[in-house]
Amino acid sequence: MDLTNPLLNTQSYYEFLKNVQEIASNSADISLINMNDVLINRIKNSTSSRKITNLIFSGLESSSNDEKNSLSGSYLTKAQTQWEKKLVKSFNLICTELNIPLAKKRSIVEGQELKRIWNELGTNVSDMKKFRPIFTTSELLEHILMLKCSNFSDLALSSTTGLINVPISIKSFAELKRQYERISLDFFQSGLDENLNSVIEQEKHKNGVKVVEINDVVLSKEFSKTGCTRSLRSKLWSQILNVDIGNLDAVYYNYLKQCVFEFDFLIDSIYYKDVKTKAVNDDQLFVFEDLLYQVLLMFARDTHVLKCFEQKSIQPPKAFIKLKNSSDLKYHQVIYPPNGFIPFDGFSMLVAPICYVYSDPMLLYFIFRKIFITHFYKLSIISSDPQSIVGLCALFENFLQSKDPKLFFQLRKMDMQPIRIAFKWIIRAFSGYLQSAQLLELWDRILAFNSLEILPIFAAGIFLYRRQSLMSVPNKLHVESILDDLKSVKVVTILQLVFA
Amino acid sequence: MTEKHPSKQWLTVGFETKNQIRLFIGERSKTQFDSGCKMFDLFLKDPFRFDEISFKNFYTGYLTIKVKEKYSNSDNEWRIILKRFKLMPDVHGESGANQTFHFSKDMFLDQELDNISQLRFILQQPSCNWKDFGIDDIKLKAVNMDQSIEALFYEWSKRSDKIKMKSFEKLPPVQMLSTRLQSLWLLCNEATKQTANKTEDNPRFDIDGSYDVNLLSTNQP
Repeated sequence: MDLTNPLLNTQSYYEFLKNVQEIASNSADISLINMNDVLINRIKNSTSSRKITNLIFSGLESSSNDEKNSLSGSYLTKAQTQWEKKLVKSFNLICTELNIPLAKKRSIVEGQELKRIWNELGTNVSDMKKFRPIFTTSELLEHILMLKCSNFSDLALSSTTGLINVPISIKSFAELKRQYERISLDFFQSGLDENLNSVIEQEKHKNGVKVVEINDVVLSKEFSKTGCTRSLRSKLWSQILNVDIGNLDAVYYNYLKQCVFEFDFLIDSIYYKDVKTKAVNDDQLFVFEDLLYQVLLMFARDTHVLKCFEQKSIQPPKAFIKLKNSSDLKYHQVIYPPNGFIPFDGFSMLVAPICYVYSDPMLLYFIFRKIFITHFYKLSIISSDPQSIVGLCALFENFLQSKDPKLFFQLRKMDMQPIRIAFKWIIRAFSGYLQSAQLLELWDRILAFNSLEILPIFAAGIFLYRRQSLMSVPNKLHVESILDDLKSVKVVTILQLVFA
Repeated sequence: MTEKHPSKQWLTVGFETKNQIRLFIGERSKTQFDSGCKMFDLFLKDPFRFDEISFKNFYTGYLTIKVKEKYSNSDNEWRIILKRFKLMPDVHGESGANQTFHFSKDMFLDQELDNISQLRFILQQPSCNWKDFGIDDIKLKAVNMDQSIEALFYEWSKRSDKIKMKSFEKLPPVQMLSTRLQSLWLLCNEATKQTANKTEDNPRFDIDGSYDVNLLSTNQP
């Protein structure tokens, strides 16, 4: 686990070194013996050293997550490879059916036209009927339910009443309660209606302003565990994710934009269709349509995203091309799409709520990318990571069963598996199902506690909240209609109910 | 867990092994209780030392290793070199269940490992979730102590009269030396930084401007 070497090449380290050199040359009382101590004391609380500590902390978090789950069980890696092959087949089928190439270079005229309408990309979309998503969330669920561990004993297998029978180590209720201690009733949570404009809320806001000024990852995380106040949310999220836009990032952003103008991908149309059918039809998110196109088109071309896959030993889909203007007859391997990620239907809903927090397209893009490579990529991979979608489903079933076995049994009697309803909530991180303000409260907690485990816990909480109606219902159609409308649900109250 | 010895050479040590047997409490035919404990022995053909053990885990929770020396008296004992080492952080879960492990000599409790003739592996899996457990693909490795050609040549050149090592008689002043060395050190530092960062951070997805993709595939055409 090497944290210092990658740090040496960053802009922050260069500035830090300059700072230290300045201090060293300006201080008269430094000698060879006490140089280390004196310099450390003087540089300790400066902004440049704060940036270094932030980088180290984020590096520590991401590498500790990787180490724990670096080697998944062999049947899980097989299942992931099978799933990847299935996606490749489905994608190829779409391509051959529609007779459109997966990627081609745009003509100069086309590129210039796109540049002109860059801020109103919604007008560029023509006939979307022929496109269909590469895979649906229900297909992924079916694949997960077919997972079977050959070494799992029959006794253990028969004792599972849910659908997931994969022995992933998930946290117990006591552990989760300890982890999410800050959500309990003992702490003041911002964002509840009755708290707005109260004295405590204003005091929390004042504290928040101080926290934002200090710009320390750990401090911002601790503060956000009880919710971010609305006006500070954008600054707190960028501090928690340690996203800082510099000149190099602006150059890279423009490079990605240029890639959109130069190359035309089939996956762009898939993203267009996704936005048109999902985000545009949502009465809270349709306003962000143009921003969504910008973010998603550039996201598809961003090779930086490949990093989160190579550490998990996931193979992105490959293709072989021949070079156009050269005599080289060899086939060269490329990755398609360049970010190695094939989206599910509804993926654009994971971007849309972030548009409420950030209006600047560049900052919005980098924040979304960071959230994706830290959290959201786990929502569509199969591995032994307890935060991957398999682990989250197992956690949901386990949690609901242990918290309220009567309810679970009642649902099973009606031939209803709760995971089938909760899956579509979890894989889209509840986007599109909750009120936007409530959804952002939930996502505050995902970022602050650095874990997706809150999603299945919240899903189980909704079942517990609607328990009375669910217990008295005759058949499963009624169950689905009870759990259909979540617009009136308050996130924080349900979480406090669950952990009480 | 692996120690890298780029300059040393490794020898694999051969051994014979009997089948892994489960341990039972009481009379074998009468008990139904699964103790979750297995044991097997490795017999080395000639007594040898070893510096590294590697194997692939298959759902074993804890591992204990004991060794026995060759030149044994009648009161010879087993020495424990690894005591109940946790291979799976959570015995009911998947992590560590299919992982490859390498143990080097400095991880053992007892580091005198010369003249070993027999090893005993004791495997434990307390969880009732699993049908079976064990370890596969065991390899023993030892460092090759024979001298390399370079070492021999060096020894010989030290003793030979024909080859003389140059000795400095007059050194330049320390200040001058240190300024020269400092700029040299800076240069070397920059050079290592450049070479260390071999892979590009964000590689281009196209190859020389071409990116005409028609089909995804897993095999090269």
